[in-house]
Amino acid sequence: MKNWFRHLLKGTTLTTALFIFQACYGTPNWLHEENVEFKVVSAEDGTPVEGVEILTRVYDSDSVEGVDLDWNLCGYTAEDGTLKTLIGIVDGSSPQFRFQDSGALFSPKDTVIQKCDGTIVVELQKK
Amino acid sequence: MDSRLKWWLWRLFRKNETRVHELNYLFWECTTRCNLACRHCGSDCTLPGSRRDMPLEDFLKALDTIPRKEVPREFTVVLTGGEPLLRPDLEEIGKSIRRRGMGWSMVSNGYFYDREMHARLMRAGMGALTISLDGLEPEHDWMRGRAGSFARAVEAIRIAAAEPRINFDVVTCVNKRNIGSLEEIHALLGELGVRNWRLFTVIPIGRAAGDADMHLSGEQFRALMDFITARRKKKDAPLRVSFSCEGYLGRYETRVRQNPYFCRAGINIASVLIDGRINACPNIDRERFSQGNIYTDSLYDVWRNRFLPFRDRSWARTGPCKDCKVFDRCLGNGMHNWHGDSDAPLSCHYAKVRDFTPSY
Repeated sequence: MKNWFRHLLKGTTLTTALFIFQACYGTPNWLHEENVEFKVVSAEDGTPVEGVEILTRVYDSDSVEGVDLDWNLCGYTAEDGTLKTLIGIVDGSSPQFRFQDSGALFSPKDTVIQKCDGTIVVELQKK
Repeated sequence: MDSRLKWWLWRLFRKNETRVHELNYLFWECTTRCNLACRHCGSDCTLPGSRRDMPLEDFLKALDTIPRKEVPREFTVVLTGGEPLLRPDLEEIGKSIRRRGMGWSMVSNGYFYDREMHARLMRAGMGALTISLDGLEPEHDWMRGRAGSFARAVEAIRIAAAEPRINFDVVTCVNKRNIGSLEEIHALLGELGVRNWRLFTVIPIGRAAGDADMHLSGEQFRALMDFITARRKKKDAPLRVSFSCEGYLGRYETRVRQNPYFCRAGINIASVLIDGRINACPNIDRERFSQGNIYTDSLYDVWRNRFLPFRDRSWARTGPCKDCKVFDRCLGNGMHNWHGDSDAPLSCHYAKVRDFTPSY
């Protein structure tokens, strides 16, 4: 078997379970249901924005004073403004995303995304 | 499909996985401090801790030796210990890992896991979690060495089970004291909303080495297999029960877990231990099988160029395994079963089901 065949097996619904494992005394794989790809750019000139923290929440939950209970960190954008990641989804809900520039040059943005198809381009306004 | 054909295909798959040797599951023994004193602890860790926690920056330097293009999307750093929740910089750890395009998860006793901690860890990008529950209150507290630990673990489980965005499971170390309570534990976990329950047994290392209560008899082991088999027959059950991938189980293979036995230690799994040593799983003999040290070697170079005893298990064809007819399926059982200079694994799961199954 070659590596290309491995990639094929990994991407096929029926055989993807072959690659899901957990060490005897470890946790389950970090393997969520949905692949998402973002590209974050400046609304002003379309240049990619690096280091944007992307958070998601998919349902409302109780809150404790001073703590955001419902946000889950997806990751940070790379030099080209992209982030490819996996997110947990909840049936019947649309994920809400928050984009926060760690460099503090851009205003944060919240948006709801109905369907995570293809690359989702997000524009941030400069402060 | 004929079972021999299935096994042939599975061995082909295993061989290819071994050849490709993709690192996608990395343990980090981030502390050896612990607030409990569990009877089955393989590392014999205690609260004062004989070693200081590994500084985050040391671990990140090791992580940064892995080229970004070599990081598969499901790459997971598994925080283990000791008790990871004792580290005050857990959120910084989580965010730093996510900055590198990797996921992270944690194994915990749940004692310090409350709503606020849960929110903080989700905010830091936690993707999976395992919490231990080793029986009903008397057995759990006995095994954990601290009264009240059961109540804390149950509360932690309740919080984690209500979170749909992480892969969460409960693990139970089955022993002589709790094997009679499996039905009750199953019912409790169902009430708590748990969806995945994993059972495992211990090998005689660490504190468990001389503790007769910790080790199941052959009959009890078979009863455990039958319990899991019966539970898994109910396909639509909300709580999925499985046995850990700790050894080859003969006729019980695929009845008690999703995939056939495959010890992925050193095939897909590595660990960075508290003193910087690089091994596969943390419970594998550190003196015999450590492959390098992050303070002197590149983690990624070690992964690519060493780990040969894990990738070629022909050395295990010795002692009782030498002429064993199932060696090609078992490869000498889980790597954590080989300790010291012994030419035999500490435990042979196959022998347990073979010797104690009348119709086998």
